[in-house]
Amino acid sequence: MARYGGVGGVGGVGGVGGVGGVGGVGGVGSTGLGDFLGAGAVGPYDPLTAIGLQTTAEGIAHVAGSGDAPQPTHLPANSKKNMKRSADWVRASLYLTDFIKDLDISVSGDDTTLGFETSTLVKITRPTEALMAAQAKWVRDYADLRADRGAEIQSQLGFPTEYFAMILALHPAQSRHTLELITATQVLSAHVAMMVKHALAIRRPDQVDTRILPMIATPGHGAFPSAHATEAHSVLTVLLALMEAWASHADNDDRGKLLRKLAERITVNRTVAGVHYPMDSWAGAALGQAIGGAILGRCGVAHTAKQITYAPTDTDFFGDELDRLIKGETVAADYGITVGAAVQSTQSDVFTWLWDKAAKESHTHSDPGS
Amino acid sequence: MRRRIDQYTGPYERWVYGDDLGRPFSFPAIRDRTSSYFTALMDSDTKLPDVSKLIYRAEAGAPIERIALRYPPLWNDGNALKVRPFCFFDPDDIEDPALTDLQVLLAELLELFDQFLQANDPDALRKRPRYRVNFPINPASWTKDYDAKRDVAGYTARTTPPKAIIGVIDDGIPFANRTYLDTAGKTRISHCWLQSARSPGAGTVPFGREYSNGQIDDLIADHGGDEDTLYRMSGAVDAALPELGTYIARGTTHGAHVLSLAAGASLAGVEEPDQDDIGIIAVQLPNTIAWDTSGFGKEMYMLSAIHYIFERAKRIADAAGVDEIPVVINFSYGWSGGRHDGKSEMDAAIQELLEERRKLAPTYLVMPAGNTYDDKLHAQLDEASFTDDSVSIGWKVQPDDRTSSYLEVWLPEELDVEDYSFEVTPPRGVSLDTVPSLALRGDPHFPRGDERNFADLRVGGAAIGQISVDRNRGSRWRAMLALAPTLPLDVDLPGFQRRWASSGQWTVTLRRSPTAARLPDGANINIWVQRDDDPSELKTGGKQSYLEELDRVATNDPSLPRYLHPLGTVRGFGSLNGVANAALTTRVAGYTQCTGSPAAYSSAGGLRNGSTGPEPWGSAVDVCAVSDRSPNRPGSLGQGVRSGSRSLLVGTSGASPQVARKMVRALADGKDAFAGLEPQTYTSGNPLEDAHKQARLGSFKAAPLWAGG
Repeated sequence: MARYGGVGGVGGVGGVGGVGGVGGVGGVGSTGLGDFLGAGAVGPYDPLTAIGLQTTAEGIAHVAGSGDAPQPTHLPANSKKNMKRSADWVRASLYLTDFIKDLDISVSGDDTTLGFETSTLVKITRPTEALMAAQAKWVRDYADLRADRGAEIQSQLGFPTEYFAMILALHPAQSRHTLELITATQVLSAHVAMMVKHALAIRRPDQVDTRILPMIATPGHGAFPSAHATEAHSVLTVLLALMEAWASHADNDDRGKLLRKLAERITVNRTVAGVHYPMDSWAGAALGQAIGGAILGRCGVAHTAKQITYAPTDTDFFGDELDRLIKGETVAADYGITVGAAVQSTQSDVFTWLWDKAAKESHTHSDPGS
Repeated sequence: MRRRIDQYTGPYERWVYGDDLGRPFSFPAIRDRTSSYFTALMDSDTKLPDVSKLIYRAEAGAPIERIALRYPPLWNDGNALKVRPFCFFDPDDIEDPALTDLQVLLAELLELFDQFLQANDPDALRKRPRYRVNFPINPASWTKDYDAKRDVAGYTARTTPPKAIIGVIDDGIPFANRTYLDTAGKTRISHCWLQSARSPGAGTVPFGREYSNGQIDDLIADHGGDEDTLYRMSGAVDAALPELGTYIARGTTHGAHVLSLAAGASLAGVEEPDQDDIGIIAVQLPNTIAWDTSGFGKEMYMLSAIHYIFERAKRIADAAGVDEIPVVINFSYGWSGGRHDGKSEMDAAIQELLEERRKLAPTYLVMPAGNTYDDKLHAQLDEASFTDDSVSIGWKVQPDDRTSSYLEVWLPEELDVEDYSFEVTPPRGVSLDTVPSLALRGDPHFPRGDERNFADLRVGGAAIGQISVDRNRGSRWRAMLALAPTLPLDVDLPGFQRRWASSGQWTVTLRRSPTAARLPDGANINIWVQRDDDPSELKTGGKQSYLEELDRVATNDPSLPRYLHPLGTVRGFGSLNGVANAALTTRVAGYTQCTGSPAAYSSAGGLRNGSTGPEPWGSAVDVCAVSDRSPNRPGSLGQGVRSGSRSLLVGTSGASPQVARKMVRALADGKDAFAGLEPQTYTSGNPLEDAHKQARLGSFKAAPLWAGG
């Protein structure tokens, strides 16, 4: 399914460089290379052009003579200097593999632990069947907002990059690496979320309670944790750090509040749609901020992301309460969240290259993305 | 045989509270009997008993031994008023809920109440009250430690008291919206009562929760950056309370729209003076109000809201050292049934309250005309309508209607109904166990309350409807038909029998003997079908039924502005809001901004077929205001729940607060309340057109709040 609205304008997200149709391709599910799939590639030639090119080659090649080819100079081996030469999807492969190689998932009883390098990102306890039934009530209650949120929900089936772009005034012409950083973060997060979903294997709410009657197709993977929550909160974590590095908006504080509110809203919209329990949002948001921290570590950037242990309880989801918990503040209710040590990760060339480019895309930079 | 002292049951009470009648199809609070706290109106000139002697005791062994009473904040302590709201319950039942038959419990409680009224007032038998029992109160909303006279927690008198106060009664009140801040950044909302919120424990309201200006300012200071959090932390969102729910989580609500038009900052760059001199008092009604659009069961909440606004305004005046402050209340709500003669309980209550308070300060209640002009919910019969001493009309009841449907036939007050009877014929192919027919006279089995009689419509023994005749408030006869939903519902109640009324055309007939009295000159029989829709999308499953002439000759198609005489029997003239008929109520119709024409749906005052042309009858539209910006840009423009968001609302509910806004501005400026409205007369040269427009748009017009059209 094509991405609604994103194909033209922010379709450039995937299509960095404006390769036609990439935005559309990117919307195929939210896995694989996501918006990167095929991005930056020239694409297959149409048959007429393919034949035309060959006919031309045969007609003109003779003027270049028949001697030996000259010796080339080498590209630098294993160097981030080659990043810029690579098609977007190639860089995407590099980001993905650079991150995933250090992940480790382990399951012990009802607990799933996601490790990164030598530390932990999250430890999540599998919800009981009774909790799933109880949480279905929240999903039914949230259906009241379907009329309000329909357009958002439909346009956020894929990655909701346009919504982040709206707050930070991003445009492909001046923000191409920022958009690439967002997309890379989303793609990584989606992959990691699938690993955790697979381990925890929780039925979607509409399999528990037929009265939920979702307004969109229920995705073909488990409910817990929510990948939308994971992606939105990893992007939130990365963008808050990037905004700080930019230091170019006089209203950074307000933009930060809007980003937090947006991440919460994207997350809750999935409950409104009828495909996620609130506990999926807690698990996803916790996981997302941890992934965001690990990505920032890869970029060589300081961050405040925390390792989180989540033992789900029957509560609604509130993004601002998670923020407070991560900041070490006290909250009113027991949400089942325990905040641990800081997320640790080591710097890598590919992420550092991307971060350095994005960091130069501030709104006050004289040569954005240089 | 169960003991049942039917002193209170009007036709709605009997149907809605009847286990084997309409209760299974009613709002969850009634259907599931989740509460023992009841609300009611007392309609009598007997003195209100002293609430400090809260609990009355009957002799030991009586079916109900104790009853406890509670009054909401009453303006002027309810003195000089006849219709007053109160709450009642059986303390023993709270501790140990035993009876599940609501009809029996209510009847016995009210019987006990009557006994004590008589013990206190030797003249009580003559003054014997009529009761209207309303929706019960969720126990979670019941204030444990209630004191109506206590200071309102956190209330802060402003250094400059308001010159006028706007009161707004509605649903979904966004009390933290920044559009209600004064120029110093403090809220103009001095008091806000959420009637169905969870009780915080102690309070100055009998149920629900009150927020004072100080508390609202604190909430904004604590959470103002995130209004979702604010409403959650303040208890304005509570999924566990069906009467409150998560309604305020929506982008906009009816109440958000209406409040913003009545009292919010100006829109679309229109220059207005700041509103620091106009205070705001708001009341949020329970969602049950919108659940049952028929008009049943809400009066106590509505009347309590008006009293509350007046009572809090008095406190503000006292703090400011003045007697009373001018008040304009906007109440964008209504129903289509009722007497439409200003003598219903609510109209009488509104009239006497406005009369009393106007002795002290300018006081207005502004209400919408209604949105049912086109809906075929009203018909008018006259003497010429009778053929062979009978007259019938069709009632089309739709399939897939999951709520009860109601039709009311009101006979002229001056008609002697001796030898008149009321009959009902089901749709073709449906047979009832017995042919339902009632003479218009009371059954002696009901010695108390209004003269009345009932008969059930049964199919295979199961009740699928009820017909009734009652002399409403002792003065005017009404014949009525109530029908169950038109599709089978599985209801989780013990002993529930699946039953449903047939959809299709029902026929109601008035029949009389050849010697029965004729309708007096200029007197009419008026018929109204109750609203049965879902205006706030609360998923009630209501489907609107409508009237149809059996012998359809050339009738006036109300959707076209054709000026015909005579008018058809089923007509939009007379579709006026059934609760806006007090003489002192200000009724607001809707017009289309760019054309000046009445909005197609905007309900109108009554027109009867006179010998030479249409003659107005009953209450009339007073003012009109914009309810649509143009035929293809429907709705008035207001503000949504969250600060800075926008809202569109189609209907006269959006017109009414624009008028209230201009009236309260004029009063704050020391002018006549109507000074900000433009007088209008109709001089098209076509007397029919002029009469129609007068009935639809009234004698004043409110200029749009927005530029352009």
